[in-house]
Amino acid sequence: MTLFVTRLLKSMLHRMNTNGDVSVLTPCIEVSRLSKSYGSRYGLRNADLMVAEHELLCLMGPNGAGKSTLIRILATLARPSSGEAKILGCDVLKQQLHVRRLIGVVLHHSLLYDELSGKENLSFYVRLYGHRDRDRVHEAITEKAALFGVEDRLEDQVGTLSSGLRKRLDIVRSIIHSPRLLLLDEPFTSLDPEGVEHLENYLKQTKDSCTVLFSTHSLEIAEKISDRIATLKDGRIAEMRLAKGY
Amino acid sequence: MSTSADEPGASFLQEVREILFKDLRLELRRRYEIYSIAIFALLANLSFGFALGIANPNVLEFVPATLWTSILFVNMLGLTTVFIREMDKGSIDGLRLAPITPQAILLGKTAYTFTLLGLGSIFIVPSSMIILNYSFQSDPLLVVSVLGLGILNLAVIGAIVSALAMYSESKALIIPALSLPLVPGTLIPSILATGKLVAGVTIDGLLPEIQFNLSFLLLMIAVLWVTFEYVLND
Repeated sequence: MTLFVTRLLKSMLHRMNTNGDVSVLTPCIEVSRLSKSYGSRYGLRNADLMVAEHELLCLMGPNGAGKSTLIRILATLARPSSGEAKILGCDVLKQQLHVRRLIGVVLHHSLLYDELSGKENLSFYVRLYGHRDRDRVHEAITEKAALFGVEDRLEDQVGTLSSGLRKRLDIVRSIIHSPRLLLLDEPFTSLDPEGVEHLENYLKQTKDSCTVLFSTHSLEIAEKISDRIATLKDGRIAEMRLAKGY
Repeated sequence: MSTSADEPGASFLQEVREILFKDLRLELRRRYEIYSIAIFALLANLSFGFALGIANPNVLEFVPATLWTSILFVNMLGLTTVFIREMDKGSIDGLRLAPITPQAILLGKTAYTFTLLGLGSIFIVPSSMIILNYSFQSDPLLVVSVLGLGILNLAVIGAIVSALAMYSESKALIIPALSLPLVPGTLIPSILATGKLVAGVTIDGLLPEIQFNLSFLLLMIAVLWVTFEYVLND
């Protein structure tokens, strides 16, 4: 079924491309027969997936279904056992540095340093992307932090912030360099209603410039903001359907 | 502020500098590592002083070994955690996600370890000289260079060991086990060179030890340069 949907999408893409209208649907994520095994256990088993540019795809499924494994492979943090994955045409194994420039990632755990302030953390990460103009960096940090209501907490040490505020800052970290693909592993976890609203609004707005792949256990959120919902089970994509809000 | 795959990004040296400055900033916020180095240096040198006896006429024979034992244990106790700390806090994924080469991460971490161990030596060496009542007779610049080279080698070993141990469940065993075959390669020439520095030997007399330590350094860097990418990825 998944293979069928993927092939259908591929053929749609092909038809649109041959019609010359490439701006409508071009592939952002192409996953082909991707597997990841941990000893005898499979985290991901022959998964096929195609996500179009500017699409918002939600991954759902029980614990251990393979959502985080898929996101970690796409984020270049884990090596697949077999299969292929490409992001905007770049192979996640062979062109890791290229891929890393294109993606923003939120994982289960925060990637921020507790001893540094929010601003110092964000400056550090944005400078690793080669942005060095102090004023522009400051402007970008303030602007992105304001999207999640944390602009007045930037000077606080991250270790002193609540887990919800830390999560918001971690999301800001992931978007600070304006990535073309956002990979978010359960980004709504530990966010308060205001934080959830900020993130929902951001994800809806960002579709013009960014593709989003996120995982969640909340069907309500998935139906509300995503275009399609993929359900993973035992390392396979068991179901792919359009979201109700699409 | 946007990033595309083809943009050049930060230069290699900028990447190294960012990681070094970030780690130093973290260290200044924590401070306990610097304090622990100072306290350990004092404790180790006092122990050696009492064990050997300050009035012992043969104390100079033991000075190089005691000095490098202190430096080695400061490195092993405090600084081999340079990658492990990132791993334990999960922030290593942040570095792995950044569009920088693994070698820049490695060099940044090594530079940090070297800086901290160098700062630690500012406590270790003078306290050793005062407690064991000796001085270096060679040119001060030569003393700093030779000690600096040995410390740099230990910093590289610290970075290697920390990187290799970070994914291990039994870090407490892995760190000394991995250090064991690597440390003598630099410790022995450094101890021999220090003995000569105390005796006032010039650079000509120190060339064998300097050459050996330099070769060791180049070998370690070459091995790490090639393998570190695989070490960093799980």
